[in-house]
Amino acid sequence: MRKQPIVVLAAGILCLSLLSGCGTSGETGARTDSESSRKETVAEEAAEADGSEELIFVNYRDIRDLNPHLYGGEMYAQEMLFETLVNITEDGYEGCLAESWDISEDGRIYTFHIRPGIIFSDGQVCDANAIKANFDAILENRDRHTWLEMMSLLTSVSAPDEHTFVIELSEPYYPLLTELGVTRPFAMISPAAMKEGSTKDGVNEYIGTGPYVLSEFVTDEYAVFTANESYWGEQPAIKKITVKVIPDNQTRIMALEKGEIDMIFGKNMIDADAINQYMDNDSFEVTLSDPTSTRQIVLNTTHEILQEKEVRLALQHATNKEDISQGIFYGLEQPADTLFAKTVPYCDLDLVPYEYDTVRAEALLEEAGWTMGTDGIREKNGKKLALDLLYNSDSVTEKSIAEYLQSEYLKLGISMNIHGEEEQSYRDNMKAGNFAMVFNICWGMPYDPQSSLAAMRAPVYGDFAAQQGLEDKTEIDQAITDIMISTDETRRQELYTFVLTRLHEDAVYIPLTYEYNKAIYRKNMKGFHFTQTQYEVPFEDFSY
Amino acid sequence: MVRRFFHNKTAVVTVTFLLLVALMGVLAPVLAPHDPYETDILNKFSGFSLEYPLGTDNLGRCMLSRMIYGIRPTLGLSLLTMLGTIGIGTLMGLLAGYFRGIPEELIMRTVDVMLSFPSQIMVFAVVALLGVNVQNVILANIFIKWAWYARMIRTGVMQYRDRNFIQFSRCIGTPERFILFRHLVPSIAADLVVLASLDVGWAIINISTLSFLGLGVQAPVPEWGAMLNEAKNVLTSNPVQMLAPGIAIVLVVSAFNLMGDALRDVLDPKEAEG
Repeated sequence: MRKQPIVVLAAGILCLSLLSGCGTSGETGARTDSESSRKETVAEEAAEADGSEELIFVNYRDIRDLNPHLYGGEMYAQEMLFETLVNITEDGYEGCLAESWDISEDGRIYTFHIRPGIIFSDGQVCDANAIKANFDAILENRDRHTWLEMMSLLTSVSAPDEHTFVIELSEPYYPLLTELGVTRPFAMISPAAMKEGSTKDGVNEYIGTGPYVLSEFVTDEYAVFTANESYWGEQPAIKKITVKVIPDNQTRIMALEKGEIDMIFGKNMIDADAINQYMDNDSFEVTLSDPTSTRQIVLNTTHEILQEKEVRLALQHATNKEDISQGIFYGLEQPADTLFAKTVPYCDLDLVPYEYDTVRAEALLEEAGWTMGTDGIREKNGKKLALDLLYNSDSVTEKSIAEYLQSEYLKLGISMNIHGEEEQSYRDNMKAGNFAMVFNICWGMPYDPQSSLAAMRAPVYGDFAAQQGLEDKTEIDQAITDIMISTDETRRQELYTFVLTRLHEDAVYIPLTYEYNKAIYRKNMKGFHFTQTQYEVPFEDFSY
Repeated sequence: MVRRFFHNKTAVVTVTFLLLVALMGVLAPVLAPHDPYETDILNKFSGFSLEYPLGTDNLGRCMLSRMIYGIRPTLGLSLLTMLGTIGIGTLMGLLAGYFRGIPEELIMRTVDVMLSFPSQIMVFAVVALLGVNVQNVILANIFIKWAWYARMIRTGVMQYRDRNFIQFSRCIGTPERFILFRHLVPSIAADLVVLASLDVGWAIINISTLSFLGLGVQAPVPEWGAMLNEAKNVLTSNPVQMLAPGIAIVLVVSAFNLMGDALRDVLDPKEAEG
C-alpha cells in the first residue's frame, strides 16, 4: 500500500504545476485581472502606510555579532547603532562625534573636539574619556586590525580633557580620517557595555550613540530597531525598522510583492532579472547607485598550474566580459578592464586592458606547452589543465557567471570545476588561500584603493594568498607601505601607478564588471539615496 | 503471462512509455537538437521556438537538449541505486528469512536501527560526511534504503521457507545455496519486481531532491532536479522554466509507480485463474 500516497502526491504535484502554468503562461485576461487586484491592495496598503513610521527591511542572513570593534556583524546594523568620530561624505569628511578637528603642521598629531552633550542610549555620557576607553579596547586587539595602516603608525591616544581627544602618529599618514570614519572598528560603544573595559572577547550589550537602538532580535528570524530617543541629531522619520532574514532571492521578491517587506537593498540581494522586471513598475521603484566596486576573479599564483603566467594571461584573454555584462546583467553592469575603476582616486592609469581574444588565448597556451588532449582538455606532461573556481552561493549572480565561464573555457580546452559555498566558509577558504580561482570584489569607497591595497600585505582576504607566487611580491608590498606614509602627492601617484601596473601585468585579477548597489522599494517611500559606502543603509533619511 | 501483460493496459502503457524514455536517453546525441553544454548567454530565457522547442535556460542552453541528456543521470543513477538497494536488500532478506536464529537477529536488529532514523535526514548526513559527489549520493541512498527492502523480502521468504518443496529439497541434501537462489529467489521474484519499480520512483525523486538542494549531480551536468533548482532561481521572472523538468519528473515517477502496481497484477498467479 506504499504506492498509494506516492501516486496521490505525484498527482497533487502535477495539478499544482499545471495550475501554476495556467497562471503565468500569458493568458492576458487572467493576468490583467490579478495584476489590477494586486495594484488595488498595494494602493490600500500605501494609503495606510502614509505617515507610517515603520519599515520592514530584509537581509539574507542574521545581524550576528554587532560588536563594533570586530568584524563579525552586519555592517548596515552596526551603522545604525554606532557612530564614529567623523563621517565620510561625497564632499569629504564631516564631523560626527567630533565636531571639528585640527591637524598639526607635520601631519602627525590630530586633535578632535568632541561634540558636547552626546549620550549613549544607556544614559552614559559619550565624552573624550569614553572615546579613549573605546580606543584602548580596540588597541588591545591590535593584531586583528592590521589591514588599517594606522595601527602600525599609532604612537598614543589621549584625552586631556573631556572635550578633547588626541591621536599621535609616528609618521604623517594621509588616510587616517578615512580609517577613523569607516564602519568598524572605530565606532564607539558605551564603556558600560564592555567586558571590564575590553571588547575583543565580545560585549555585554550593543549600546551606541546612533539614530537607532536594537530593541529585539531572534537569531535567523528577525531583528527590530527603534529610534534612539536620546539621539543627538535629528530624529529619524521612520521610528521602527524590522529586519527579516530571508536567504533566498525568489522568496525575497515574493515577500516584496505580497507586502511582507518594504524594501530590498544590497548588491547581492537582487539579480539582474528581478531588476529588469521591476524597472517600469507602478508600485515599486528601482534605484541603482553609481558603480561601487569591481567584480573580479582572483587567480592563485601559488597554484601549480596558475603559477604559469601564460595560463593566467590566457584566462584573461579567454574571458568575454562584454557578454557577461550583456547576457547576465542586461548591460546594467559595465564590463571592467582594470582592478579599480578609473574613477577611483589615483587609479586613472593608462593600462592596456586584456582584450577578449580566444585566438590569442589559445596561442598562449600552445606556447606554454599545453596541448589539446584527446578528450578536449589540454594537457602538459600528463597533467590536465583543470582548475577549480570557488563562488559564494549566497550571491545571486556568481553561480551564473561561473557556469558561463565554465562552458566558455571548455571551448579552449580548459576544464573548470565550479563549487559554491555559503558566505562564511567561502571567506574562510579565501583567507586561508584554499582556492585556485575565486570570485572577489573590491571593497569600494571609501576603502579603495588605500585600504584594499594595504590589506594585500596580510591575510585579510584572498589577495595575500593569491599573490604569494609573484616574484615581485616583496617589491609590491614595500611600495604599498611607502604609499601609506608618503606625503608628497606626485610620489604617491607614482607608487600607486607602480603597484597597479605590476598587478595588472602579472594578471592576478580578472576584472569582470563594475558592480552597482541596487534597491527596490515601494513608490511611496521618500528620501531614498545611497551613501558613499555600499555597506550602509541610510535609514534615518527615509520617510513615507 | 505474456497475454496477461498485453491485456493489462496500464502495464503496456507505462512500460512502453518508460522504454521510450530510456531509449531517448540512450540516443540522446542523435535526438538532441543542440549540445546541452553550449551556452549562448545573449539568448537566455528565450521562449518556445522552432530552433529551441522548449526555450533556453539562464545561460542560453537549449532546454530540450538538456532534458534529453538529463534522462541519463536521472534514470541511470536511479537504476543503479535500485540495483544496489535491491541487491543488498534481497541478500540480507534471504539470509535472515531462511536461516533464522542468530543471523536473523543480527540482520534484523541492524535493520531496526536503520529504520528508526528518517531516511532523508540520514542521506543528508551521509552526503555531508563523505562530501558532495554523485557517487556518495548513490552510496548514501543504498546504505539507507536497503534495510527497508531486507525487511520486505524476509517476510516474503518466510512464507516459502516451510513449504513442502523446500522441505523436500532440504531432506535430499540440496546445498543451501541452491535452495536460496533456485527455489526462494524465483518464488519471490514477483514481489521483487514490484519493489524494484517502486524503488526506482523513489530513487528518482531522491536524487532529484538532492540535486535540487545542490548536493547531488553538480553543474553543468544536466539533471532534472538540478534544472528545477536553476528554474527556481527565476521563479518570479520566468516561471515557464520549471515546467519541463517538473512535469518530466512527475510523469516518470508516476509511470514507475503505476508500472509496479500493474506488474503485480500481471505477475500474480491468482489473477490468472480469475
